Amino acid sequence: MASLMAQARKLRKEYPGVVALKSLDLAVPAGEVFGLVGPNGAGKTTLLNVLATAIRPDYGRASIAGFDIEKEPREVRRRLGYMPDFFNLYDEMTAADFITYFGLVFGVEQAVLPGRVDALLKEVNLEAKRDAKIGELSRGMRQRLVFAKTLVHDPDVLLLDEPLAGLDPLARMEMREILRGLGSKGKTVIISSHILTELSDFCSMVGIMEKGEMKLCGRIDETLERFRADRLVTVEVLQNGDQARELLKPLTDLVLEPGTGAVIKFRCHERETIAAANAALVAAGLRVVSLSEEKGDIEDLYFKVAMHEVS
Amino acid sequence: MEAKHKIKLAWAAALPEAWRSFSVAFRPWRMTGAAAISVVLCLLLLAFIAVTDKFSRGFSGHGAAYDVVFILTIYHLGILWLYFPAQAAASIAREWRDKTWVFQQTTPQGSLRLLLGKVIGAPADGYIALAASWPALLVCLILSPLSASEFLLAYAVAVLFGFAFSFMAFYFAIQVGQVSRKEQVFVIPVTILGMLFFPFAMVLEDLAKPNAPAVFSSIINLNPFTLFASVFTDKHFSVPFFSWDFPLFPAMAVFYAVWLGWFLIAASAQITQRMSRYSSRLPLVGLLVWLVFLVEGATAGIRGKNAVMQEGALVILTSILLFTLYVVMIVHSRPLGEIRPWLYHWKEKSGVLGYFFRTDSPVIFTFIVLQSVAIVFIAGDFMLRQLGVLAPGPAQNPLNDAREWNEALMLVSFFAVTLRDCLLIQFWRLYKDKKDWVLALIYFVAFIAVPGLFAAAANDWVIELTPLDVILVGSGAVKGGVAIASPVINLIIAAGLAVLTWRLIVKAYRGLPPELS
Repeated sequence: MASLMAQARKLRKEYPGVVALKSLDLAVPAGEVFGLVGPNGAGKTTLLNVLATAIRPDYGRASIAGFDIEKEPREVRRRLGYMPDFFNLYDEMTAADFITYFGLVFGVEQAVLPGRVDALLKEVNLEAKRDAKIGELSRGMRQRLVFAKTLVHDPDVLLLDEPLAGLDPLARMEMREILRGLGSKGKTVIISSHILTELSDFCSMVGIMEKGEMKLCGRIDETLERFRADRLVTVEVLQNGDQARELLKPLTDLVLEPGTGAVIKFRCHERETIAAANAALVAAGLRVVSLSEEKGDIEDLYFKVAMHEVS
Repeated sequence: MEAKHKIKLAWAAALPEAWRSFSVAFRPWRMTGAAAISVVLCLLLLAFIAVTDKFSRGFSGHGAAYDVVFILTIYHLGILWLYFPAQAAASIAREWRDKTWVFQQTTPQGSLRLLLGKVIGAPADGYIALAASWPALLVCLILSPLSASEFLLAYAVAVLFGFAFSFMAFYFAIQVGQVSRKEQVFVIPVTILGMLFFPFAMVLEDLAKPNAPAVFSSIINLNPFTLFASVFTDKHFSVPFFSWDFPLFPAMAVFYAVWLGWFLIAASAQITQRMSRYSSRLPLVGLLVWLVFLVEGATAGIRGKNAVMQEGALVILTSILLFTLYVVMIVHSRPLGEIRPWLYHWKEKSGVLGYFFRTDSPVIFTFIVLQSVAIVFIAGDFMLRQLGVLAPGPAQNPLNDAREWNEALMLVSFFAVTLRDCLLIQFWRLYKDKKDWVLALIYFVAFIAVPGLFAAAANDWVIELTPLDVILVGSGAVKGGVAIASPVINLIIAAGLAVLTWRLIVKAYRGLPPELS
């Protein structure tokens, strides 16, 4: 198993009258893109703030890249890129100066800093706004600028709190492409978002939080597999759809969905049932054009958790 | 990469926060504008001086150049002592208001580096304003009969104090930032009043004058700070528009300087806490040790001189030290919410005393323990000396040698009073942690208003409940049984407050969630 880049054990954080984190555990191996989902007030931002060393937990331990967030916060910060969910910027600075400033603060080598600033501006598509004041940038541009700042010291771990929120469709698409690129670069990313379907695109792991607790946590495929109630399979035959239905009907663990025509949908629990269905159709001489299992997504899982179907 | 860029980054890497401010302020068009203003101002003033000297005798009778230097000096002092501190305070307040602080919180830079960057960088516009008028000031200085070297030395001191005041303003801004906007309305005037009408501030103004008693000059060496006074007065020039007091203001700064070093440390520690890091308790322990040595050293140093000298010096020194301690107490007292994490650890590990000294324990608890130790140590030391165990006591009967007796009593009283108030402030924050402004009120009432109200009745027992009592005991104004009663009464009150504080902590400890135990 890869080394754990973000780890938390029994984290607890209280605010007056609210337990924001309640004995929360977390383990994110190196190179994973971890999607953190949950309703408002679930504790996602508090968790990211604690991991980012912006607030101290009341209890429990957490580490980033092996460094304890409370004992070695500076080491943690050197290895961490944090993008908060809500922020203002230094509006009088230019975009290039803003990134340069954080490069200086994070101790990026002076020889490489100017080049890195240029590269980051290019990466987030803000080259043309290099010398523009931040106050003149649009919301999407500011979001991308902060993202560029988050990368300036080439951190091992990225904490991104709702990076897609509040963006128009075009800006969201651009941002999503950038985020997708992070996974391919081998960075460990923890990203919280309300836009669940979009997380499915680039997350390898998922954690579902509710009322300060991690209700569900693991690899997306495994988790979806584990908590799948049934499978929805679509079969398309070249012809004789009704005959195909008759052939499938007697199979155990298989329930046909109502319908007619060459496209047949059925539900089952086991993968073997899908194979058996295919074999039955082929054995009967029916020509199968396609057979596919509809994948569930984080959204399905999230709603199951929200409806307390999963615990 | 261009050489210019290399140089820019080299110094910027040392103080990135200052570089950030400069990158905004020092835009080419601003620099060009400042240079243009500088040239125009210079030409105008030269013309003014030429015309005035030719057609009139000048309003002060010492030449127009002299008058212009004085006016520009006031302008510069205004920027250095008002604009610089205001910008330093605003620089941190802006971060919180605009919610940009989260970026600073999650960077690896040290709090001292950030603090220096802010204090140096915040008044960037002020540098331009100063630079624009400097050529004119320099030209007029050369044309005036003033000593350029004395003036420049005094100016350097004024610059240093400009930054010192900036640290102080920064520190207070952090304090004010902890209370709500409504409460700030209360805290700011209290702070200003506290600084302006602090009892010894009045004394200092008199001391700074040339006929001040020599003893004060020798104790606290005012000379370097009265350079402006010497520049404008030693040559028997009159000072136009202004009373003498203004150029003598720097003299007061030396007394504030004792605090400023601590303010720098405290501001840095406060930022550290705001950055969600552990705050080291070493500065606090160091401060306390320093205070003990300073008080002990002052009493020893003054001993043997005449009573008037002793009284005056002790009033000043103890006032400074008491004020510093009160600031320490208010800064380091903690609400229950911040004490809870420490209680969690305590509950988990079942430790007791050792947890007072954990790095995450509330700093004020360490302070309380250290103050208690100081009381026992100083009282014990004095008793052993009086009994002749350590060294022959100067007087077997303390009541017959009130001066020696009072010096020791003052030290015990010093820590007894501050221990009592330390516990009072901490108790209040545990009890009502959202009423931060009450701390300012406690400080204000205890330290300024009550002694002021009862100053006329110095022997009144009420005084024993105020920090003024420490000063009175030290100065010998209170003697015998009344003086002995002071630390005893305050220690009894402190014990009561300790019990109440302990009960609140125990209650919070028992109220911790069970699943963590």
